Amino acid sequence: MDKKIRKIHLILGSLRDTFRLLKRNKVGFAGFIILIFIILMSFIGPYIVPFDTTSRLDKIYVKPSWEHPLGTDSQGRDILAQIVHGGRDVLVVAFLTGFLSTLIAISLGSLSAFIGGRFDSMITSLADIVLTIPHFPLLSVLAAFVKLKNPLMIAFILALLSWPGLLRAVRAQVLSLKERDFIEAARALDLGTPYIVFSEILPNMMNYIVISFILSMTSAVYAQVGLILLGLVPLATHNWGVMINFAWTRGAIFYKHSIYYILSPIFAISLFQWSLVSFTRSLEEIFNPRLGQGA
Amino acid sequence: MENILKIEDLYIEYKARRGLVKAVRGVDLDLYKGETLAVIGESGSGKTTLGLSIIKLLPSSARISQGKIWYQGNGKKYEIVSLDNSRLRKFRWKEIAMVFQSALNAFNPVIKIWDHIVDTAESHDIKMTREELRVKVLELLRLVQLDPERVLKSYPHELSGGMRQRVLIALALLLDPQIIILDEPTTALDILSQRSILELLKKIKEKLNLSIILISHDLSLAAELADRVAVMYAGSLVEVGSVYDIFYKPLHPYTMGLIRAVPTVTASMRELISIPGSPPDLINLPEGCKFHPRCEYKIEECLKEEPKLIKASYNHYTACIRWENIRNGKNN
Amino acid sequence: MEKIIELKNISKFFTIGGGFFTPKKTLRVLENLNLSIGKGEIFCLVGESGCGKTTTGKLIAGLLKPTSGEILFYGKDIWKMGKEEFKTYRRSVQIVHQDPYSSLNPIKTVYDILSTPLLKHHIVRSNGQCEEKISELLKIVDLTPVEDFIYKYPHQLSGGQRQRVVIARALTLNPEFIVADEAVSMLDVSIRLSIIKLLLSLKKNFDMTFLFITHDLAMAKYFGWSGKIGVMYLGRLVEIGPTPKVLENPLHPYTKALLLAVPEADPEVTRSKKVMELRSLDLPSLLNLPPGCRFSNRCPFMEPGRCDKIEPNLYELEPEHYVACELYGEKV
Repeated sequence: MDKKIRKIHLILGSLRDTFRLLKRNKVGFAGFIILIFIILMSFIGPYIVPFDTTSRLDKIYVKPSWEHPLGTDSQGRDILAQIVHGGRDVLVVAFLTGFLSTLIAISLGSLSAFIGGRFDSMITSLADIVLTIPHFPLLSVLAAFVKLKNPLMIAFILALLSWPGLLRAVRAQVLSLKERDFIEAARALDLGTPYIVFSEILPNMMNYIVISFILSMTSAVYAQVGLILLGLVPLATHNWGVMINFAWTRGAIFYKHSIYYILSPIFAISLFQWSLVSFTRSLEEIFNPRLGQGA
Repeated sequence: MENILKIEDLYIEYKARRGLVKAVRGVDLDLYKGETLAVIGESGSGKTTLGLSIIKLLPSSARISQGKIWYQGNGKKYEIVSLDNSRLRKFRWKEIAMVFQSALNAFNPVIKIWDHIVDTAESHDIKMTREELRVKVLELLRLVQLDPERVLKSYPHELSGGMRQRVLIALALLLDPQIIILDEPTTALDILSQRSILELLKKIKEKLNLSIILISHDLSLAAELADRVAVMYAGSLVEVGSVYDIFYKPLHPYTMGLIRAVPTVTASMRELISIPGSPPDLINLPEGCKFHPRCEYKIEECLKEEPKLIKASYNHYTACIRWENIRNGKNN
Repeated sequence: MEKIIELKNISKFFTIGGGFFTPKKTLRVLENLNLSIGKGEIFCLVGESGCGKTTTGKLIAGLLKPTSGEILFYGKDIWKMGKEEFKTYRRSVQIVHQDPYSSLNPIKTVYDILSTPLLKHHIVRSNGQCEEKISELLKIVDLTPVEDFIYKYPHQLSGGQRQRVVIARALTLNPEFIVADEAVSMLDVSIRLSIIKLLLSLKKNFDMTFLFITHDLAMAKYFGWSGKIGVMYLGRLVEIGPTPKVLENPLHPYTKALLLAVPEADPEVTRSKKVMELRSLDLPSLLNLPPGCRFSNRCPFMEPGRCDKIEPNLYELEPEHYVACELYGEKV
């Protein structure tokens, strides 16, 4: 019993430490707070802020006011409500893409480094091939063949294209960690390759993996917004990318009042990207001192 | 005997995340002209910090908070702690030169040895023509038993560890310094190269009448080269004496413990006794004598006040209030 | 004595280069190594860096595969064993590395480090049993009170304490044989001996067999006095014999040179040594080995036409005391 309490204390203590380290980098902490805010807004916000989709011809391009803090769009609908409702898909696709590409990169990269030989050269040359394909044109072509209806599909295709960079980095790291003495000791203890890869090596790369995961999320955001903007993805749902597309094609060029319509989603996307990138700074603080010697 | 260097009540601290590391605490030490003084201590004892402070080459996180270092040689007298950068540049290498621990890292891998020497000389604005420099370098390389023509044309990786170390020693001697500080001069070398460096140091010292400070964790280097030995523990000197006094009549429990814990090869086999415990945390030092948690001679008084160096006999100082018991072999 | 490990004509070559622009080169790290280690014996392998002693350790621990030759574990070639047999062998031979900072995973607690092999190989059946076994192991390696260490991360421990954890980890699978690769050379002088004594207690209490790899002749002497010593030079064993015989009556010129060269922690002993003048100060590269005896280009007793032509045989000059030097050819 006593030991369980000790362990709980240990975990609580390390959580407290994590939070302390999180706060140490001011920019990173700001990024963290904004990121949490955007996530809450996109996932819980839709239940709080109603979105009236009916067109109100009397309210086209209304300037910001108490009733419509960000004004209205070309059909007289509230822009703030669209921002609140339009984040979810962008976030989900970004997260899924990041998750899938990181998963592919880690599993193939670490196995490739650990098994070596022909498997290794096969994987690395595959990565090289994917790396040299120009992504955007390929995506445009793909979009013509594959129906990119749901976010999952988009995420999947984006992930298939974005893993090679991280794979090469993971492979290089595993190759160097593999030579460390504690790995050799684990081999002598016959702990098995899966255990060695997933419990001894990968946790030591967590900082790198998490940061790459977040950075691949940011590129996934740009890729999907770009696709939507070019109209390569059916504009069925409301999201920030669709908003930019609409704002661009239906107003921005003609009416100066539409400025709020086009700027709002751009600002939302930028803020999301900024919060991700800054958050990585705090993550570095969290991971590094613990792996360093004198904590 | 004539003092060439005098360290007075020196304190050095490092800023670390957890707090202040007291690396050197109240060191008083003399270096006499023409002698070899070995500063012996384990990692974290402050021996390297002490060595670096003598040429004021401490890292930026370190601060000399108190104390003076007097240098008197070549008819000049300086107080090193208060020297500014421009005067330090004239002082380092010309009066005191240091040979660092890692012989490989001292060289730029992509330039040849001769270019390295020229670069180093130029960065210290030395008033010597290329030709004068070359003549001097050739002479010194021959002194350290290297083939000058071959070495000067080589890249660092083409030389063995022992050869690189010899180049560094030759380079340190370039401006005829009065004092040479050697920080672990043989640590990374194999035994046969180590021996050749030791023989070389003996020869140079004889020939050039240098004063040498040898910083090492290795008791056997001190036994081999030193005239006097200073033992450091937790930032302070705990015993200073002639090499024979230190090895055969140690008067501090730490020195005694070290000597009893180190095996020899050719001397007869004897039982060794280990020192219990581990070195103290430099941020949280124990009260009183810093060695008391590991000491078999400890009495209550040891916990109260940190002992200063006490003169036990001619040229033999110990920082232990129980030194008389140790000398008489009594522990009660 | 039953032989636990036997090496028969073991060679290990590494190839380097072999790209578009660099020709393939073969590094002959080990050549024709023969040795056997009896159950409960201490076998010290001494030599300088690059002599192949660490490679030998890894071959014996089954972490590397030899280029040619056989490694026998209780008379069976380990690389021809069935899966289950190989597992038994693998668990019976454990390794203790030199660097206690890189041999523990920085993100795992002592508990994690020790519990994984115990649970994975069903040495213990429940978490309760596991904790019991872990405290037992920590007591063996003197990390007491156990509660102070069991949930610590490696960075919270000192070098000596880490090395104790490493030893405890090596003991989790109840091995019969431990390869200690420079297991104390990175530790402070005052800590080394306590680790050596811990290893000696393992031999005494568990009849553990050791391969003790070191460059420190004095440590080899102290640790391996009751056992055997093998002296390696550039990938070959040049002398093998009972430790007292080899150290007191060295036969191979290289062993003699080493014993004369090594500085000792005793001023009188070390200063009375005569130095053997070698014909070359520098260790040849493994890529450019001298023909015949590998020591021939440095050996002061070299006989031209013989030493630099023929590979020396291993001669048994005294019972159990072998030397690979042709100068003894006539005597036998």
